[in-house]
Amino acid sequence: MDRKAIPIIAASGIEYPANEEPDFKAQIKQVFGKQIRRIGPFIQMALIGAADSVRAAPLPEATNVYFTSGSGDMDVTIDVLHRTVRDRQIPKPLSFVNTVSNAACFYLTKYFSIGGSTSFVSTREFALESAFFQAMTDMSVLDVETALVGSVDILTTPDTTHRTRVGSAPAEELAQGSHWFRLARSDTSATPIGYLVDTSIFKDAGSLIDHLKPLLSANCFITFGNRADSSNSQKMINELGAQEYQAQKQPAGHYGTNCGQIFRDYLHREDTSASQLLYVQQNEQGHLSAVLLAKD
Amino acid sequence: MAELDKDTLMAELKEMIVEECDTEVEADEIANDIRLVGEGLELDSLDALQISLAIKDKYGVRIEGGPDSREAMANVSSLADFIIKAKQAS
Repeated sequence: MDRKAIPIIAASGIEYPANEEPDFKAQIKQVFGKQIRRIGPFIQMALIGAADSVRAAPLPEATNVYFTSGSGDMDVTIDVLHRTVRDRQIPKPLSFVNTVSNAACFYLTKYFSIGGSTSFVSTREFALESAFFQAMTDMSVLDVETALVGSVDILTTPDTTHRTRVGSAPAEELAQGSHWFRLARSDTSATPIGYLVDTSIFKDAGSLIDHLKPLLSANCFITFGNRADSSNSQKMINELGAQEYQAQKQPAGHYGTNCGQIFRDYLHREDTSASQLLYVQQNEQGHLSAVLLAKD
Repeated sequence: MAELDKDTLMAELKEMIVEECDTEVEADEIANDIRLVGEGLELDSLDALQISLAIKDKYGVRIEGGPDSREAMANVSSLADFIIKAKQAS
């Protein structure tokens, strides 16, 4: 394995299609043995999704958290905007404090006894990719030993407004999800389930191919985000010699960070050993992001 | 608004506290004289601000800072007394 590749010790998460209404309060009580007051679905999903990654092996206190979202905690943001703009009232404090998406990190550090730095990192179309990039950079340059990288995107109502906000086509299924990955540079307490080899952003398909070609193994899968241009995709398949990845469990629907489901699918399945997975997404400017994972 | 009955008002306030502060206890488990902030119901200053804004929305009564507000926020009974007194004075 490339010496710069960062071991992934655990991956966990939850995902629900739009027609399911999960009882997050009950799940919080099941995970933590008690209720946690004053948190909505966004923070609840962060805590529930991260729990299995945190508990996979003893977590060093000095773990950094890199948290991301495509849309942020829209539930409370909408509530606060309605109150301040539409109703011309002072925002209620318990909603206002949670409009800062990093509020979720307060609860993550509190309930999982994490003492490292926390960051909310995002670019709208490359949210989880940005968090991986930041974590990989810090782990390579700043001697950060362990990191928890995760994402949450929630559904909001009404559907039509939500679709417009997240850029989803009318016929596309909507979903919500929380995906978490535990990275550890030197944690020997658990066997890696995979490796984060590379994560980068490119101005076009040519520069992506030039950068990634030397990193790819003979057994490399490739998959694309929902905005990837099909002609670009075919060019990458041809020039990189990768085979298209068929996920056992596809994302339940559209949301900003549903690539997390693809990553978890790849890392957890047993028939992808000694392989790589390259995930490519495209933004409105035509820039491309790539996340390269590998397994022993 | 019709004159407020203290018992009815206290029942409404308990429901409001449970909803606004997302407490684990049910409304009917909150005693009239249990301390709201700190020991007792274990609410904090954020909860107190949340309650005061909800009271302004529902009853049109402002709870300003200072000793009076601390006294008003002591428990459900004192909160009801404060609202009734403010409504009578308006």
